[in-house]
Order: sequence, then C-alpha cells, then structure tokens
Amino acid sequence: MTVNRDIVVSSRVRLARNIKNLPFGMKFNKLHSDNIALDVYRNIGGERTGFGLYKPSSPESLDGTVLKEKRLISEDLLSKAPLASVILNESETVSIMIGEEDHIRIQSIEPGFNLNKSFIATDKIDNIIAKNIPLSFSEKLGYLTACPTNLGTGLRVSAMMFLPGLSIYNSLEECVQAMSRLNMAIRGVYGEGSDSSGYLYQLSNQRTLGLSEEAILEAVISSVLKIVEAEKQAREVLLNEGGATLKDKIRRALGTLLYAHKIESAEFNTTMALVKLGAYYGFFDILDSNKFEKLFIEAQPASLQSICKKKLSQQDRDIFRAKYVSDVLNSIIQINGV
Amino acid sequence: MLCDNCKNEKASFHSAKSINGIMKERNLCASCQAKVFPFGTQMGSFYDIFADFTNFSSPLEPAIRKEIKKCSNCTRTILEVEKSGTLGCPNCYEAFSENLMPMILRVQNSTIHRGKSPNGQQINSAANLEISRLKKELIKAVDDENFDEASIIKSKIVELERGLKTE
Ligand SMILES: [Zn+2]
Ligand SMILES: [Zn+2]
Repeated sequence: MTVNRDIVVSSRVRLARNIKNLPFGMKFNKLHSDNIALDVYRNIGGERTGFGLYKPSSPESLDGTVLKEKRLISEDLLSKAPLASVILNESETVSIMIGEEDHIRIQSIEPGFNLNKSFIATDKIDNIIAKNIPLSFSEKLGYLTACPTNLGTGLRVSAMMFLPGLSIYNSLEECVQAMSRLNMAIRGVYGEGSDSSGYLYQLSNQRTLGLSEEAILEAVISSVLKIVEAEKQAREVLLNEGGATLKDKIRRALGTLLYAHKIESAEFNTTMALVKLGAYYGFFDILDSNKFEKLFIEAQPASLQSICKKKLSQQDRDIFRAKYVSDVLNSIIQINGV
Repeated sequence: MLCDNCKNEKASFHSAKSINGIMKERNLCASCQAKVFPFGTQMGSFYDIFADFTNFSSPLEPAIRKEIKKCSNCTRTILEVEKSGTLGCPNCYEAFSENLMPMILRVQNSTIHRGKSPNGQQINSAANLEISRLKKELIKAVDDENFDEASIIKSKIVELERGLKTE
C-alpha cells in the first residue's frame, strides 16, 4: 500500500544506547562526551562514509537551532550545547546524537511513509557501534536507558502525520484512545491541539520492552495505516459537508501566503496546512512536492535566518518569510479552475 | 598514608579529580585499586576512566543514611529517581529493582527483553529462562494438586512461547 506525504509526512526511528559503566547523562565531563562522539564517528567510518561531526556552540546558536527545526537534533540535545555533539550523514536522513538523556541516540528520518527504511538505517549503525563500543546491556532488561520508558529495545518508531480531517471533526480524541489500547501514543507536534499546530501529530510506540524490534515496527506500521484510513474518510466527509465554505477558506489561505507582506510563524503553519489540504482535494496542483514539504521547515525562524544569511528582528523575519514563501509557492503551485 | 578504602594497607595509588567542582582525593592500596580499576589502567581506552568514575563512590563512601535506598554506583537515591523519573546509572536498575520493577511492568507490560543484543543476535534467553522457571513451578503445582495455580502458570508459559514464535 502506498501512502504519500499528504498524510504521512515523515517516518522516524530512534534507538537509545548507553555506554557500559558510565553514569547516564553527560554532565560530568566535556572530554568524555567528545571522546564518545569521536569514537562513534571513527567507528562508522567518519568522513570516508560521508558523515560529519557537529557541535552546536550554544543552545542559542543559529546552526544548532536550524538542526532542531529540521528535527535532526532534539531540544534536549541543543540545551546541552556545547557538551553535546551530533553526527550527520550528507543527505541528512541519519543523525546520531551524543550526549542526550542517553549517551547515544541513533535516529533516521525518511520523507513520507518509509519506516522500514529508517529502521534498517538505524539498525545498521547500531550493529557497527555495538561491535566496537561496550554498551550497557542486561540479559533480562535489554539495553539499559536513563528513563525506564525506553528500556529493552531502546526503540521508538514514529510517524509524523498530517491530520486535518480528524482534527477538524474532533475525532482525534477517539483515535488517541483506540491507539492507546494498542500501546501507541499520538501527540501534537507543536502545542497540543491548537490551531497553529498545523494539524501535525506524532504517532509512536509506547512499549519498548518485551517485544522484538520487528514486532514494534509492525505494530506501528499497522497503526499508521489505520489512522491513514480514518483520516481519508474524515477528509471525504469534510469535503462533502464543507462545500463552498471549505473551498473559500482554503483559497483565502493560499491568497494570504501568496500576497501577504508579513506573516508570523503561527499563521504560516495554519495557512500552509490548509493549502496542503487544498492540494489533496485537487483545488491546485503542486508541481514539486519536495520543495513544498521543505518549505514547512524553511519558514521556521532559524532556518529562515540561515537562508537569508543574517540575523533578523521579529518584524524583518516576518517580512522575509512572506516574500520567501510567496516566491516558492508561485514557482510550484498551479491553481485549477475557479 | 593508609588506604582510604580498607584503612589497613599502605596506600600506593594517589589521585585527585574534580567532580561537580569539588576536588576529591583518593589514596588506595594495590588490592583496592584493582577493585576500583577492574580493567587496570593500561587498557589504553578511555572507557576505563568511566569504570573508575562510576565506581568512585562505592567502596569509599559508606551509605550515610541507611534508611534511604541509594545506588552504590552513582550515589543517586530512590527519592531522586522517583522525583526525576530517570536513573543515575545502569546499576540503578539493580539497586532499585524492588521499586522499579512494578513501575516497569505497568509502563511496559513486561519485564523481559525480547529484542536484539549487542552481539547482534536476537536473544530470547531471558524469556527461555523464565519459561524453564515456570515449568518447574508447574510441575510443583501439579504435584501439590494445586490445579488452579497450575493452569495460571500454564497460560503464562503459552504466552511466553507465543512471544518467542512471533519473533
Ligand atoms: Zn585498601
Ligand atoms: Zn546508579
């Protein structure tokens, strides 16, 4: 079954690992965290295999915040700068965070619904690390992690889902409950349930212990497919009931993105979400869906400043955002009919 | 100078290091040093520094307050673990096993790992161990003609075995 990015935005798999005998966390010594980062980097082949080792200079650093907006590093890792490091591959699909809550977090993000590919990528790196670096492991409890919620496999499989249909129909609460019976969690990506969330949700496994990696992966995949089906139905109903009002709202959202002089982050998220929904309904064609999806990240505050290569005040940022978004959309969107 | 740890032998190993800004000095005899540095100092890997660090407090600082459970490896107390929700070190899992296991069972619905291991193999040894333990219990329950309990044990075994097969 193929599901494209109009419902499952991206797939992510993360493995938590810790070094044998070493206390969790990385508070105690910069030298140690740097040594671990270098050791992991060397073992996975370093530059030769196209990986780079980065260290955000501070929690406020632009480069670090850009990586966070791209979800290549976590908030927690960034807050630990300059102690923490991240190892990234060239295509920015794999990131290995050193110095998070757990010493090593191997993460792979793939666009769309591709959890298998993400899993294979993290598993491969884990095997290399395990061969060369002593890891904290117990026969009974598996990989020992700082928090017992990651214990065992240390595996978190998650899909970022775009769910405007279910959100607008207030059916998400039901989904959350149904999913929690399957030991799956659904969380809002930006602020819980608010309109500015852009209808983005993260579905992931809750249990990490007592199941094999493959069983966890399969359970998440089948849960994602259930939510995809529910979302498709909700979008049908929304279209039938919404009629001209819905179409008007969506086209006004596109109007805002194309013609506004300045636009804030929250308004961007809401209007882009509606435009994305409009494209799903065929109100307009998106000629380059990669460019379109990339825009969601590019329009975030730090990424914008990195694109325009200078620090911007809030107002200048909102003006630059409006201009940038309008230019990109103009080049890739084709409006159908009236 | 006498060894800090056993207070018996003459100290032959001296070191000082700063932990959280507080200088700690150590003077150990050869046999206590071997305990603190299980891999020796000649391994040339920086990982044995960690072994040193994590064992730092264990032989040297007797638990000050006996009534508060404390991890001998990282000195974190059960109160700190409960407050933060995170553990201090891998050894905390053993040190606070009594408190953690019911919580782990509640969150994870299991206390037995069934995934891969660092040597690359899927390990089920923990599950297999549990199955053989339950089988012994089953035999005993049947011998005692305790059939209700036997049937509970049997269903546990079936579930565990099913878990092994689905892998
Ligand atoms: Zn001694
Ligand atoms: Zn501990």
